[in-house]
Parts: sequence; C-alpha cells; structure tokens
Amino acid sequence: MRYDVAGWVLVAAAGATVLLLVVITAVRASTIVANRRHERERSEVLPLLLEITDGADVPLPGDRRAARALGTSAAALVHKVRGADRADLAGWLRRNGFREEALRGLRARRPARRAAAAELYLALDDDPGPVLPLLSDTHARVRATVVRALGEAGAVTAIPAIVEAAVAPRGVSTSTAAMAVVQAGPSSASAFGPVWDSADPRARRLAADVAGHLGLADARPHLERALRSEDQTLRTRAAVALGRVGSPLSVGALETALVGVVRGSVEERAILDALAALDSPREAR
Amino acid sequence: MTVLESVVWWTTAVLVVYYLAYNVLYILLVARAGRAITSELAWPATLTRDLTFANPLSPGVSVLVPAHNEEVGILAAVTALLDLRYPTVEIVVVDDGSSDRTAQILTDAFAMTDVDLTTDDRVEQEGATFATLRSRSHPGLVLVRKASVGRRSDAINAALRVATQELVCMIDADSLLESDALLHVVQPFIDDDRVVAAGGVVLPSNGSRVHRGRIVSTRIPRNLVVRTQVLEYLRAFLVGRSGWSSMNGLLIISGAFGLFRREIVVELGGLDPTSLAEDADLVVGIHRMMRDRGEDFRVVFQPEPVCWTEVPATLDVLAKQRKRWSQGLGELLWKYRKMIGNPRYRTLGVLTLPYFVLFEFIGPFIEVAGLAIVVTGFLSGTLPWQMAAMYAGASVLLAALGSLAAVLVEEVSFSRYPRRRDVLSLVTTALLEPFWFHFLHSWWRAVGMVRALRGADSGWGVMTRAGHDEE
Amino acid sequence: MAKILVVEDDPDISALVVHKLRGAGHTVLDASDGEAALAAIRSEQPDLVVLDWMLPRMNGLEVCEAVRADAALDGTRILMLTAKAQEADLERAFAAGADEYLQKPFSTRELVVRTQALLARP
Repeated sequence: MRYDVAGWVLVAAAGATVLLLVVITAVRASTIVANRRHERERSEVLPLLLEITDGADVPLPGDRRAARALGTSAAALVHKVRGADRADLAGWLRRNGFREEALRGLRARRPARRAAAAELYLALDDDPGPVLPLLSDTHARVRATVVRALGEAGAVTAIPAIVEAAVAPRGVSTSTAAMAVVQAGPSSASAFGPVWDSADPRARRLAADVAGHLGLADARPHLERALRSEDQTLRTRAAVALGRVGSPLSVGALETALVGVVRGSVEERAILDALAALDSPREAR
Repeated sequence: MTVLESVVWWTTAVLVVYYLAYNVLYILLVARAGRAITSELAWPATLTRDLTFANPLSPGVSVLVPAHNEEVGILAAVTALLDLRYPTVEIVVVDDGSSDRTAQILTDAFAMTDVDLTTDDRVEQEGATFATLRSRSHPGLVLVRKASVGRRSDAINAALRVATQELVCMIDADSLLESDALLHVVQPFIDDDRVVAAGGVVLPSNGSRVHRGRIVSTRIPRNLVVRTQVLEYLRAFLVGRSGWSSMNGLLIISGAFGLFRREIVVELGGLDPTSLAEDADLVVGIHRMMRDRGEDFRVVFQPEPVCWTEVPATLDVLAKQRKRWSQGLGELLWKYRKMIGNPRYRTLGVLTLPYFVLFEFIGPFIEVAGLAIVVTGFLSGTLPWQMAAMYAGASVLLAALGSLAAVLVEEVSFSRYPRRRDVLSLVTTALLEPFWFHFLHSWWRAVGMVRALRGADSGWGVMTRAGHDEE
Repeated sequence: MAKILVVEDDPDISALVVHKLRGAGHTVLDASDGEAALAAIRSEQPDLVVLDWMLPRMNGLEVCEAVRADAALDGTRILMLTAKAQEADLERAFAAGADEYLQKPFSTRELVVRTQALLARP
C-alpha cells in the first residue's frame, strides 16, 4: 500500500516525458511553418515596399495578413533610411492609419508593444509630446527604448525631459540618456534649457559631459559657471568639457578654478589637461 | 527488517528525496527561465543594437585574449575579433610564454611594432613581461609577450594591467564569438549603471563549420560525448544561469566569455592566480567586495547566442576537465565559506552558495555511495523492487524530463540547430544521459572534491583540439 | 549607364538600393557577403561597387583592399556604406582605397547622386 505513491510518481514522470516530446515536435513543426509563411509574405510585400519608396500611393492590401506584413516591413524600414525614402515611407504609414495605431499602442498592456509603438510614432510625427509620459513608464525597458527612440528621431525639444529621466528615481541610466542626447545632436547649449539651472548636480553633470562631447561652443558660460559649483564631480566634468569645447576664452576661468583646487586630485588633473588642450587646440582630444 | 535491510531502505529513501528535491528545483528553474526568455524575445531589439553600434558614447571594450601556443588558430581568432560589430574595441593578446610562432604570426600579419604601454599596478603579475607591441595597421590591437607561469589567470592579469577601455571582455583563445556578441552583452551595462558583470551563452562548437574565426553553420556532432555536453551547456546556460541571474545570484560567468567593468576587476586585484575556478572566483569576489562596501550592483546574464568553444571529445580529456572544475569549485567554496548562508550576501549567500554546497559539493558523494548501495541492495534482494523503481524514477526519469525541458526552451527561443535531425539527436541524448553520463559525472565530481579537500595540486589539464571544419 | 555591384547583407536595404540604382538606368548585380562580392567583382568587372563595411565572411574593408591590390581591377570605383560613426573609421575606409563614403542610415537619393558623380569622374 505504501508503495502506491511510487507507481504514481513513475507514471506521472513518464507521462510528462511523452508530453514534452510531443510539444517539442509541435514547436519544431510550427517554427518551420511560420518561417515559410514569413518568407512568402516577405516576397509578396517587397515589391509593394519598393513602390512606396518611389512615392507611389500603394493601397493597403485587402488581405488582413498581407496588410499587417506590409505595415510591419514599412515600419522596420523607416528607421533604416533617411531623406526622401523615409519621408515616403512615413507618409504612407500615416495615410494608412499607422500613426493612430501607434498612439493607441502607447497605452497597450504589454510593455514590448508600448515600446514598439513609441518607436513607430516618433518616426511618423515630429511632436514627441504624446510619448513623453512613457519616460516614467512602470517598465524600465520601455523607458530606455523611448529615450533611445527620442534620440534617434532627433527630438531636440525632448532633451530636458531626457535629462530629467536620467536623474529620476524611476528613470533611465545616465549612459542611455547621454547616448540619446548625443544621437539627437543638438546644435546649441540652449537645447538643454532649464537643465543648466537644475538643482540636481547629476543633471548638470550629464549636460556638461554631452556639451563637451558635441563641442557646443555656446555651452561655455554654463560650463564656466559649473566650475564654481559645490559638486566636485561636476567641476571636474565641466573642466574636461571646456577642454573639449576648446575655446581659448575659458583659460581665465580654468586658471581661477585651479587656485583653490586640492593638489593631486582628479579635479586638478582635469583642469590641467583642459588648459593644455586649450594651449594647442589642434592637439586637443 | 534486519539492520542491513533498514540501512539499505533508508539510504534509498533519502536518495529518492534528494533526487526529487534536485529535479523539482531544476524543473522550476526551467519554468522561470523559459518565461524570462520568452518575454525577452518579445522585444524588438534591432533598433537598440543599431543605435548602440552607431553611438560614439558606447562604452569601449578591451578584449583580453590569453594565448599559449596557439599558432594554429590565433590568426583567425584575432581577425574575427577585429571584425566584431562594435564601435570601440581594443584587443589585448597575451602571448603567455609560447614556444611556437604565435607572436611571430601576429607580428607579421598586423605589422606589430614595439611600444610602451602604461600599466596599472593594482593588478599583480607573476610572469615578467618582456615585450609590448602595437599594430600599425590596426591601432586597437596590442600584444603583450610574457614569461609563462603555466596559468591562464596570470595571462589575463597581464592583459588587465594594460587594458584601457571601460569594459573588459575575458575570453579563451579558442572562443568563437558571434559578430554581434559585444553589442548583446554590453547592452545591460548601458541600460543599468549598476551592472558590473555580464555573461552570455557559451555552447560547444565541435562539429560546426567555421570560416575565418566565425561559425557559419551549427550542427550537433555524432560523437555522443560531445552531444551530451551540448545538452549540458544548454541546461546550464539557458536554464541555470538565466534563473540565477534573474535573482541576482549568479555564481559563474564562463571564462570563455564574460564582460566586466574594468575598474571593479582592477580594484579586486584581478584574477586570483591560485584558483582553479578563476571565473567563478572573480564573480564571487565581486559579490563580496560590492556587498562589503554596501554598493548596489548587478551581475547579469544574456540568453542571446554569443560564444562557441571547443569541448573535449573523449571521455579521458573530459574526465580531467571535470575533476579540475570540481576541485576548483570545492576550493572556492572553502575560500568563501564565511559567505555561505550569510544573509548579508543576499541571494548568493542564502541560496546560490548553499545550493552549490548541497548539490555540487556533497551531491556527488551521495550519488556515488547511494548508487552502490541501491544496486547491491536490489541485486541481493534486500531492497524491495518498488523502492528501487522509485529511485530509478526520481533519478532517471526526472533528469530526462529536465533535459527535455531545456531542449524545449531552446526550440521555442533561439532554435540554434536548424537541422531536424539535430533536435532528434538532442532528444535521444537527453533520454540516454541519465543512464550513463550522469553517474560518470558524479564520480568525476566526487574525485575532484576529494582533491579539493586534500588540497591536492592539480596542474592545468591539456585540451586536445581537433579544430573545426574550415569552409 | 554603368554596371554596379551592390554588396549588402541586410536584404531590405539591398533590395532598396538595387531598385533605386536600376531606376537610375544602371545594370545592377548584388551580393550578400564579402567573398561572393570579391568573386563577382573579378568575374563581372563592375564599374562601381556599393560596399557595406560589416559583412559576413570577409569585411568590406578587406574586399576594398583586395580590389586595390589587383591590377586587373584598376578603375573599379568603390562607395563604402557603414553605420560606423567615428572619424577614425572614415580615415580607415579611405586608406583602404574607398572613393566615397556614406554613413548609414542614408538616403538612397543621395546614394544615387553620389554614384553618378563617382561614375562621371575621369
């Protein structure tokens, strides 16, 4: 009697093994079918996609599946091209209701869908407004994807919001934010707007880093002011950035900063390097 | 019941519970990993990787390549590394006292000339460096020539001393990386400032076709020893590490492919030159250092395909390798014994390390002794057949079940082996494995643990390489 | 009208570039890896190669160097495509013998204009 349980365990384990074998076979079979279908759809959709890039107004296929395949391919390609092709693809997507679909997707329940919707929306519309609330999404990966997509779309107006997200308790990493801002490629320090006066030194550090990296000449007054900050890391980063911006006009501010600095500190090193860079701008970096 | 009978009966009962616990835990881990991987795959990753590739702020990576008498493969390996899809890569090859033409081949192929490199003395090195060279055709390629002390860790440390990038990638000279490997594994460092180490999937490359240091087609070889290891690696990487990593309790990042923040590794003084399991030692050391400092950190695992490495093709070589690994693990558990069960070290202390003590350290002894008792008990008729059946069910059937689950996760997610017969081969291997390999493996592990307990000096094993089919 | 070889491993981009160059009246061939590209260059002797940098089997830079090292292929013009963003990469591409360089993502209209200009060079 007490061995009955042994029988049950054996039967259950054997049953589960057989079940798994069946599932593995089924998965393999369905993968093969799905791959074939994908190949077929691709070959059907490609000519239409090329027509769209020629500016033709290709109607959305009547077949639901083909329509979706064309939409997905167009949405993927729109990120890989620039100029007229991008404009044509984006125009076609907008005309066929994909902008509205993306807007709806921003509120989807699945995080991956929200992220994909944000990427698509930003490729179709110049106003980043509707995706900004996703910068405080509950899912970390959605936030990061949105920040990257803002950078990719060159959304310069969103830069203060991106920096804000980098210092928020539930935001994105500083690397993600800095990379996105560099990708967005602001041409003036004014794109950072209120960030230069932020109460959070981490926000100003990020702005200093990126401004230095991009060599934004008009960031100079902000950076020189940062040299007088309470925050040592910020002072150090500002010095590095001034070296990169490379204006001889900063020499005075850097030399003033050098007076009060701790000997042998990282900060001193950064100021000296910056001064060296400014003496011979061609050697800089 | 006689005394003998009750001893046999109780031993078997304990074994049944042991196997049940082990396999059920494992199957739970599979479920967890399966969910993690499927939700991972739902993410559209292409845009992210393209943006990382194109961004000038992506953190630079120094790839550290220890090479000892690698004249056959070094050129293809370095060529493939130079071709990795990643914006800023520095490659530091360490010629660890090779007696063959390893250094000469690199010097000729990449126009290497002598150069002075600044060294970071926080990392110690035993074998003296006698030359440092830089390539004129590929400025990111550096060669360090040093005297060998017979340890991979000393070569890695020599490379660490001269590495300049923010992240360091540790690999073996025979590691074959996917061209997107760095993009995959760097991403966690970008996404989360707290990430200090990341590992990726390593799979056996035996039987695959290789072209200029890169895998061009994957297949499961006929050799049963290798096939069994493919299954083992799938289980360990796809299931085990995904599971542990999701709890921030990852113990091992494979020496064949791991990425670390250089500053952290340097502060730790580099790799422990005395450890036989220097890869696990590094990860546990990082855990201890970061917790002791009270800093928040993450050690993560990326399930994406990244690295292929050649595994032993004969039982003889495999036995040596596993005994060495096991001894290394035993010594590691002893070295960090104060962390075991210590809640200060969170998941690693209260879950991962005790798990390793129970199933990796004591486990092999229980299994080897237990098997002997059950078999003699059954043959001599002292053990009721029902009990023997229960033992077989818990150990064999459940183990096969766990392996099949790992195969299923692989099929659902990456499906890295495209041929239909490869799936069949994996399935049959999974069904066979508990009948032979499992017991052999327990024996090797037990031997290794005994060596660890005795503090035996076990030299570095020799890996015989058959090489790959070149196209 | 010229003979152009497009070497690109992303099938969508390859199809798009081929389509646009055909639209501009050229005879266009394509290849998706470095070795196939080099073989096609040797056998077909195209006037111009649109060459991606990151390719399977052999990278674009090596293809470029191999073409420049082969006297029989003198006069083959090469336009490199790449997502690499740094100045050092640009220098490497030109050092390897590229005549023109276009950063991804690019506009195919610009690509066509640049190929015309390249082909018009003496």
